[in-house]
Amino acid sequence: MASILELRSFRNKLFYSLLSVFSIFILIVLAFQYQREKDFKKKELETSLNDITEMTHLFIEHNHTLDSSRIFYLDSLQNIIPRKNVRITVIMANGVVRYDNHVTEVNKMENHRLRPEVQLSVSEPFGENVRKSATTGEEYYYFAKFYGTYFVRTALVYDVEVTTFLRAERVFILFSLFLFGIVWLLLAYVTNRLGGTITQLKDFAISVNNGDEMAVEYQFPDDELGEISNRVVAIYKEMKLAKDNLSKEKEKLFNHLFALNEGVAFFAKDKSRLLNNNHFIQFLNIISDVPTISPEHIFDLADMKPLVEFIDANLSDLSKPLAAMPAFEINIKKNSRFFAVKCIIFQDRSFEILILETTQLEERTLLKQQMTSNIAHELRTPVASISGYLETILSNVLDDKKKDYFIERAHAQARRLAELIDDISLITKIEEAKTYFVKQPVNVYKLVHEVVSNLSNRVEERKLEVNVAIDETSVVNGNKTLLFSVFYNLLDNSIKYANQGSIVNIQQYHSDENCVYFTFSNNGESIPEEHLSRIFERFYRVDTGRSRKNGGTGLGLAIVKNAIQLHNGEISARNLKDGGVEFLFSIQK
Amino acid sequence: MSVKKDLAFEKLMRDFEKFSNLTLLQLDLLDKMISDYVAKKPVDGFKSQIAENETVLNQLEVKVSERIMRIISLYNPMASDLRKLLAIYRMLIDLERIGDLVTGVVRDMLRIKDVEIFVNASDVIDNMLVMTKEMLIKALLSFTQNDRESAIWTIKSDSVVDELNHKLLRKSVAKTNLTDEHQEMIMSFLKLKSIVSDIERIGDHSTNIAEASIYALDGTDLRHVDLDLDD
Repeated sequence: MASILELRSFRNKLFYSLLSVFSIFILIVLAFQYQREKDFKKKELETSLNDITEMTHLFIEHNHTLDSSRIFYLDSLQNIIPRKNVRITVIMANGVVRYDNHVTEVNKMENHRLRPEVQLSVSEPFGENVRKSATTGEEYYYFAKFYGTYFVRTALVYDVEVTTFLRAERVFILFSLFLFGIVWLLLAYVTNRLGGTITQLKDFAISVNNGDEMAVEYQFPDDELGEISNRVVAIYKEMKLAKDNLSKEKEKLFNHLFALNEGVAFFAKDKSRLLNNNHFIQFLNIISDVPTISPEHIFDLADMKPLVEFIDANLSDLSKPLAAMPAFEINIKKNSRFFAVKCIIFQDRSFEILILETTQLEERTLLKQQMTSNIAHELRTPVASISGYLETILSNVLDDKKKDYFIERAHAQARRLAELIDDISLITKIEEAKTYFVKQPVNVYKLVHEVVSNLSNRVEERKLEVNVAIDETSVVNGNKTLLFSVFYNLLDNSIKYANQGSIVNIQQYHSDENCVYFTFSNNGESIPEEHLSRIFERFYRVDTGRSRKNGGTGLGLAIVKNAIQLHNGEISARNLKDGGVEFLFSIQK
Repeated sequence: MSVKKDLAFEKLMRDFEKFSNLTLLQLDLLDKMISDYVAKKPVDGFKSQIAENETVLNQLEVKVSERIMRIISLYNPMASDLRKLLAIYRMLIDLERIGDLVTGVVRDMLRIKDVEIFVNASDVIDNMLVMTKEMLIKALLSFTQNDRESAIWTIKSDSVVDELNHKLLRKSVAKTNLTDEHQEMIMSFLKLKSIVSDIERIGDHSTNIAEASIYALDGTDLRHVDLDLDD
């Protein structure tokens, strides 16, 4: 296989074709030379025959040998002619042969008037002809001249043979062979050089096709072909570099797609996938009732029907130009999760489908709506009370005592309203503007004592016993106002809901590298289990009637929880075995 | 040449994906069938559908393995290609077994005489099934999406499912109100049953080895069906 390939290689093809062209050239030169040699010999023959003919004529004129008695003088002529075997014939003007040195019985010879060379010599200076002699059977070169009353014809064996020629021209042949050899070597060298470039180009093409790394540096000769090859390799390298960069970018895009929390998929216009990320398939599996790993499954879903219709409508007529990037969006609710599915169609009719999980967003919207209606409700109550009291004062004639009573009640409600507004703005700030609260080291011991003394009047009113067991050196990194409101709200809660004479324990029970852990408990009544998990919700009340009467805003524990979360802590509540409630919480150091 | 190879790979991946989706569908059908069975609804429709799909799966398996052979013999795959092909082949065998196991579960489920026993355990079975389904999806996605994380998740989840398996049997037997002695006996019979099944599976695998051997000897695939590899 390799040898056949070798024989058919470009180098060999080039070599052998050039060699055959040269061989043909050499043969043509040889043939031409042969022809020239032949012509030259013929000329030489002609010249010598002309000389002999002239000599014969002069001999006849001088010796008057045409007289029948002296005709044999001509025989002696043979001896002085340098060439042997010359046939001399003397023919009279009427064609009768008078003498022939090869034939003794001349009178038996036929009339020679019509011989071509004789005929020719009448009109031309001389006549010549090559033919086989009827008498000897050999091929002769005939030469004839006309001298008024007679013709002299001379003839020689026509032997301008190749054999003799070859013998004569051996040097020339040898020279040709030598030339042939030289050319062979030269051709081999040149085709090798050319072939080398071609072979390298072939190797290059094969390695490119196989996608191998280009390990070798190609060395091309300094000629046009080499230049072309160098350019081809350079262009390839440039393109490869560009392609590598492109695939790097693509890789980045892939990684980006996979890092996204959205499901993304690109499809070609025949709805086959081009690219998709994992989330796409995961979301698809949530939306679909049938498990799948193929992104194309999206087109089979009943929920996606409007989307598929939109895509089909845009892909159906390919001749119609697209409006600028048609887009479509549907919202899907499935298994209590919300998804927004978006589709964008590109100019080349490939399209992108995005699946966004909007569950959290939807839940937050719902929560906000609830919150707003709660706030409105909570605000309405004191406002209604205030306007009720004021209306009573305005529309009735009341004595001063009663008037004072109503004014006092309206004032109390106004205070409650102000409190409520303070709490709402505080909790909103904690949620929305976390950076508003600057953190600094806070001594918890001092802070708790501040809270207790702040509320001491009310504590004494309810005859509560407050025990504080906090390390005096305990310092956390926090916002003083918020931490104050944490303990304030908890104690306030106890004052409002604990039985008269209850014991309140505020205790630091643990401290580690990150956090300080506290418990806040009061004995007495417990919170029913079903309410326990919800007491940190805004406006959540265990016992609506009682807490309203006590003047709570319903936001106290929500503020506590949010404030503690802002300090990277956690809070939970549980009932004590012997009755009472305990809050456990941590605050980051 | 390489374009042809790419095309062959594309076809292979397409059929492999079809195979995967169908196996997932089998698991899903099984899940639905169990829910209906527990709810005492008729399940014959599911049974026949699962059986039908199993036939298709078996044909597809042969087709996919034939595609793998073709790529190896025709296109001189490079090392990374070969790795991928071998991985697909391994997955293929396991997917095919999953298909077999699904039909096995269907068969055994319908053979339990006391449906209540099955109903009592159905919660755990359902949990296990949902978990394994998720594992299979993630495992397959990790391959088709080149996602390592999913593969690691699946491998880690395996121990969870194993634990569920152990708990399930203990709990089911404990719920039977039998004496401790009888419960122990049942547990022993269960162990015996798994011993017998394991041995039976050794026989099955020996048959597979024999089939592979014949394939190696004269290229006859005993599972062979009429293939159309050109689509």
